[in-house]
Amino acid sequence: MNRAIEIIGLTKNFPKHKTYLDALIHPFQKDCVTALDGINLQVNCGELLCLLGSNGAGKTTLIKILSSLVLPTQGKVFVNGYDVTKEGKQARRCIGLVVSEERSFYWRLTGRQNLEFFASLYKLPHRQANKRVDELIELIDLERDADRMFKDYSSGIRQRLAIARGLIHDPDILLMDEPSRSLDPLAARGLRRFILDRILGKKNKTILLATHNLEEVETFNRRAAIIHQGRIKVIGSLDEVKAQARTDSIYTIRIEGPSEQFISQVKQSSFFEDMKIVSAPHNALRVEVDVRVPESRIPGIIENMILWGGRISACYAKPTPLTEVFSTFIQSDKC
Amino acid sequence: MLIDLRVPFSFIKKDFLSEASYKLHFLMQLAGILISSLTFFFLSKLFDHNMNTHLKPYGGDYFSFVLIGFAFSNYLQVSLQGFGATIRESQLTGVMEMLLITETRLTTIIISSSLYRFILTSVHILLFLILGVTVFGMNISNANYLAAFIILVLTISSSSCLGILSASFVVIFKKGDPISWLFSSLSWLIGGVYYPISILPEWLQNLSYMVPTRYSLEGMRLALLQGYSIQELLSNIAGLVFFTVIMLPLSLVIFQYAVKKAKVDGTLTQY
Repeated sequence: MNRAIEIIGLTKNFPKHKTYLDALIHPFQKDCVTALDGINLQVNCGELLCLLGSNGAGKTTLIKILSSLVLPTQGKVFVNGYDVTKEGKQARRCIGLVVSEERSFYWRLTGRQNLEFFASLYKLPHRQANKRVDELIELIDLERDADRMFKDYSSGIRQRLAIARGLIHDPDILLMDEPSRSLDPLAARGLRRFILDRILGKKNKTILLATHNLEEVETFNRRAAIIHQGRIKVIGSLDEVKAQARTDSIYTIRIEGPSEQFISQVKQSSFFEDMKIVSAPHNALRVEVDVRVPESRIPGIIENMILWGGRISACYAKPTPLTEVFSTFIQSDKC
Repeated sequence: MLIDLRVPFSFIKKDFLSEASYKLHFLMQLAGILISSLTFFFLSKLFDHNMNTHLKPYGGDYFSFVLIGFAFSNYLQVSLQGFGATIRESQLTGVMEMLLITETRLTTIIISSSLYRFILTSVHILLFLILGVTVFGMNISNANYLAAFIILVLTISSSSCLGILSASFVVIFKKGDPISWLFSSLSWLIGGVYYPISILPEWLQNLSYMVPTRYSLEGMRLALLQGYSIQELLSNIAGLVFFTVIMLPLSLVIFQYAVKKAKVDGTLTQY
């Protein structure tokens, strides 16, 4: 499979900011902060890879290195086969950058004028640029508002325009840095749908999307990489990531008409996580007990419950929330 | 070639559209030109006779002297501060990284984004001269326009070198650019903007040879007010050429170094 992005042993150290006192006492001492530490990552052509990490994890640094805005300290970074350090211009031609920074547009120009301006920086011939701008305006459903000033747009439209700008020179790869950061939940959902249907579906672009939004990653349900303190902790499909987290699953066991004694025994047990009363026909008592244990212990627990007089009607595993998987990876060094 | 010209043209169009949308500011700039001209006119009434010997090489009229000095010093200021200001403004607004991600080189971006300021300054200077001639009786009937044009081009090129050097400081240090501060201050003090250099003490007169403003303003005044030929202005032209030849490669090398350092430090788009 063709690689759109290939990162090999990427490390980035930034010089540490010195206080006046430090600069005076140790003028030649160079302290560094490691932002990225030996990153290896491949993104295949036409795929969407979510780069999930908390604030300061290194997501933006990685995107800036891919965009050749920041130079790596060590390692190699290839975009469509071009080395971003040595062939920056060719690499930039292959990528479109989408940021959530609204100030990155000219506010007193219209949406169309903004796109025309950025098209000229890619040196598209006038006629081709105008055609491209029209296409993109149609793609983001901005036909009615294209000639309004940027300052008058809603955050949702601004973000779509940011995507249109990223696509202005028809790049193969889109780098998106928290595209839904400033959007309300509804607008964010609309944007995700737009990315999936129009950018990935119709345009077949490769997308590297950096986010700290777990819901976003679940919605996309594509390959994801969790980055923490400059290191990739895990990479794979969501199921693979969850499997690698090796967190104990939560199982729900449904019991019909439990006695008070049964309930108290369950609550005192070591496996007990949560219990709730759920509706049952004819006002009968039905409870669901959540237990957090490895799968192998479930038969023993059910056996115990039957011994305590419980009538078990169902048992199923609950899907592991991504929040839990994420916190597992960032709180430990599992991988 | 046509495609390459699109970048500078797009910057001019973008800046014009942005600037024209601030209508009051646009009108105030025009009013400012009239007020400055009036101020110099009344000031000239005071100085006319007292400074006659110092003004004699330029025709003896203080109003014409100061109007040309003030108007053309705007070019120096734009060249000196425009590039750094462009970088700073792009960093502050957040547009910088979106410009740098494109295929256009940073030097092209910086130069193109200063073009509108040069055009605007040219319009201002033209208005200054039109007002000076039609309302305040300034005499440029003997002007050597070709010589004035050559001086103008060399003025822009020499001070742009300092401007690029100044932009290098902005790229690395963001604020606190010593080049712009130093040459702006020196231009006002010993560049001959408001008064002839001949009234300065000798050591300051000698120091003024280090500042391109001296060659520019003197050459421009002699070309416009006295109609000096290119041969007669050779010393001024040589001074500006010398500045350009020495400073242009130096400033470009330093600027490239500054950009690389900012990319290594990750501070290119920070402010």
